[in-house]
Amino acid sequence: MKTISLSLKISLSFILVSIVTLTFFYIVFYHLFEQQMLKVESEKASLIAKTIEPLIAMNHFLGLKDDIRQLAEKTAEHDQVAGLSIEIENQLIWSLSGLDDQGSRDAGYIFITYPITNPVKAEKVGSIKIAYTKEALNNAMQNIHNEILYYLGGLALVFVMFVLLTRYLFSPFEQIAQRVKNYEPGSAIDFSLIRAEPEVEAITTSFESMVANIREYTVLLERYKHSVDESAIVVRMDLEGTITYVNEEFSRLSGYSLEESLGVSVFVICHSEVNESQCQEVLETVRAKKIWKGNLQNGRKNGGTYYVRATVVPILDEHDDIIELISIQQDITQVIEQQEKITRQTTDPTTGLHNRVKLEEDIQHIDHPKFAIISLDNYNIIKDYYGWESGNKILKEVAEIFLSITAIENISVYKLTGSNYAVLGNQAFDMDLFHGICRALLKKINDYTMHLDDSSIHIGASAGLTSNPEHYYSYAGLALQHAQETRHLTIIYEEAENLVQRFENNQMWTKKLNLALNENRIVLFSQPIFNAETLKIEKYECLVRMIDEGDEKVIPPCLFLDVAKKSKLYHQVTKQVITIAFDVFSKVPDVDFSINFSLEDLLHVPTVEFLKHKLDESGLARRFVLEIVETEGIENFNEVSDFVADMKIRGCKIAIDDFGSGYSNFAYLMKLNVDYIKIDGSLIKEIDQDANSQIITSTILDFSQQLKIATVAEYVHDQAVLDYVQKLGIDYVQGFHLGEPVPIETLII
Amino acid sequence: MARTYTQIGLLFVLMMMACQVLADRYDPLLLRAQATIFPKIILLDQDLEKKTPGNEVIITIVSTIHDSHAANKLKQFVEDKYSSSLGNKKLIVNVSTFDEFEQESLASAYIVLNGSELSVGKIVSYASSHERIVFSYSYSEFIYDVLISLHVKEKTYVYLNKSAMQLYGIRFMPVFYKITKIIE
Repeated sequence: MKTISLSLKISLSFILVSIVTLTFFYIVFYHLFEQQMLKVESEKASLIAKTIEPLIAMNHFLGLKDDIRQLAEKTAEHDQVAGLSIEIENQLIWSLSGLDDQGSRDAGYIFITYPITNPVKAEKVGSIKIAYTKEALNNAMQNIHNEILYYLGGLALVFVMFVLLTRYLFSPFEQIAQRVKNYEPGSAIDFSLIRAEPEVEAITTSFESMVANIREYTVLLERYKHSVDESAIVVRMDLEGTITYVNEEFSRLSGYSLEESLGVSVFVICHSEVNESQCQEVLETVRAKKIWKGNLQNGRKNGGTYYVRATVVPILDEHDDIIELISIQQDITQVIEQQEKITRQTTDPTTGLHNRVKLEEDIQHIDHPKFAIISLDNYNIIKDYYGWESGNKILKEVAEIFLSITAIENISVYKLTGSNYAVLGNQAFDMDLFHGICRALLKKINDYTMHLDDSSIHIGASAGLTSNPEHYYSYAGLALQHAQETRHLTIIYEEAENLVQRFENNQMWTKKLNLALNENRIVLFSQPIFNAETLKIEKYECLVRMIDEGDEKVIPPCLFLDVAKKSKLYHQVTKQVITIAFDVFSKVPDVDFSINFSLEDLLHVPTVEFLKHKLDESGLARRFVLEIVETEGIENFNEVSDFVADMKIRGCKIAIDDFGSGYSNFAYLMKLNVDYIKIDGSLIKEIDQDANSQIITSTILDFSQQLKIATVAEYVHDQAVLDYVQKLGIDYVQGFHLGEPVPIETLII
Repeated sequence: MARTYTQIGLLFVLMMMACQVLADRYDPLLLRAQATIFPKIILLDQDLEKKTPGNEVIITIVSTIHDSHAANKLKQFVEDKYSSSLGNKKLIVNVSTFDEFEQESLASAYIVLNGSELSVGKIVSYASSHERIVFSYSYSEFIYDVLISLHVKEKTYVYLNKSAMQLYGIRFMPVFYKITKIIE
């Protein structure tokens, strides 16, 4: 049904009300008028009777009957008098017609009967009956009808004029509606040329005020949008996930331009199948009119990926129906990468367990930790026999066993260096319970059968436990060492008296070392390394010593270096060594010099940076030899390899120290591309007498020569040994027989 | 017997002659009509009560001696019509001459037959001073200020002397004026 305009409704309402009112009044007043007219006609009839009655009465009284008849005839001549009868003293004096009251009334006559009264006696002597026609009444009513019709015609004109006038009066509202209809937020509405009655003006003023407010809000919204666009990634989609808008930040990050993005399904930018299912989950959530929040991995146009923290919001219209989806995203790629990096840094790459970095981080949050170091007893042998990969397999399988206990709440497991693992429990455990868990774990490991190649292997393990929060690592290590030494499954540090003594000893040495560092009593001694053939000094090995306070006794490193490592003074010692060595040998030309660099030194970035700085500052790289102990670094081969490469780029040389003291790994040597192999003193010490030493040393020598690695024989303590090693063809010799370690300052002359 | 019949015959002839004479001066039909209507007109006087002491309506018919017969006739007609009551009043009809009427008691109304100006004028003067109606046989007496007369033509006309009305000061019922023929 077509909508009827307000003006027309008003007009129709007015017309309808008018018609109803007029009809009502017409009916009422017509009826009243008719009744009144009837009454008037009756009164007229009565008046006629009333008028002639005195005359008739008088004439009758005077006996003038002719006058009565004359009067009656004259009266009957009246147009409205249809019938007249005069009866006096029961005699019908005069009668016009035989009109019957009953029948004639229906025929439209008014009958009145008027008494004739004796003028003198005032007694009724007769009556006058008049039949009065309603012709006048009918004519009057007919005239009224006609008049009303004429007036209705005029009224119709009035109604038409009213309709037109109403439309005219309402036309400003139509104009306003038309101008408002095409309004767009932010634009202005021109209300000029609209007729300005106060009401219209009030409306236009209100609209203008509203428009101004909307413009203000639109500007504000634009600014908010701009802020969001500048600070976040914005993607707008339809319900199917088809992109309808992206901002510049999206284009910058993804590599897809606006044109390339429009009309593309959001699944296209999902990075992987995993992410596609996540995208599907997002769409399902927002289609249910809920907000989805989470991280997404998206693909760049160039094939790369980036991470975002996304909030996807369904936009609803006034009927609560979804009209579009908006995704506001923050680039968290760096955060994710940092997290992954941290994870990598805190994760052992071989086993996937958390490493010591994570351990140290976690233990700081525990007030009363229970800590255990568990070491695989015969791991090295198996690894050396079966190789690296088998060794890693063992580590992984053992890690699985460790992971089985992480189901216990408040228990964490970690992978330490080598074949060491750590278990950490929080204050929820007393030592007995924690001890029981560790023993159960050890039993599992001990009972576990590993299959390598075609062999079945059993791995043994021992554990050192402690509840000391400050020295947990050293105490557990001491306890472990003690357990291994005494062949106990577990040792709890606090329950082992020797360990306490050892701890106290360590404390003493820590204190001494600290003091020595502060008082510059960490010194270097140097021991010459001779060319085996020419027996000329070509290098010096820098050896760290501590000068005891008071008696200035020289303390060997074996007494304080372990303590230094445990007490975290080690790097200061290394730094001191580097400082002194470079300082001295910058003044002692033409000879190389070496310092011992442990894995801890190598992994300690400040130490490495300090060394590099010294190398760059001194320009002594080509004379500098880094001695790395063989047994260290296998597990951190990548780091060692990178470091070695870095040093070699600078022109430094690398020596593997104490080679052969453990179980030699030639593959290790090949990959590191070292310059020297320092054959361990245990092989050289009795080489002139011990066949095994001879065989092993020869093997090492052959290997080295083939790889063009120079060899150094340590611990040449007598001539026989010297002779032998010279005969073997070892390139360099070092030992008390040739030169004892002396304070390095003596080299400066 | 013959003499008697002769006397009777003569008497009859005389009467006829009288009648003839009467017929020549006074119409009996008119007299009868006047005898019928004039008394009723008296009743239309709104001040009748003052003029009818003892509840008696006295009508005195005044004529010349020569018209006494007509006067008596008129009296007879009145009495025949009304007996001795007019309305609820006693009716007394007297006959008198113009010379002797004053000897009669004051009437409620007078009816004068033809007379001279002097005669009729005397009656009129007397009656009007007492606010008594004076009727006349002929409205030609109106010049003598007679108040009311009646004549029968095709119908009966009651004449009212308009110029004499003020003289008499009589108030009739208003409707009476409507049925009368006013003579100015």
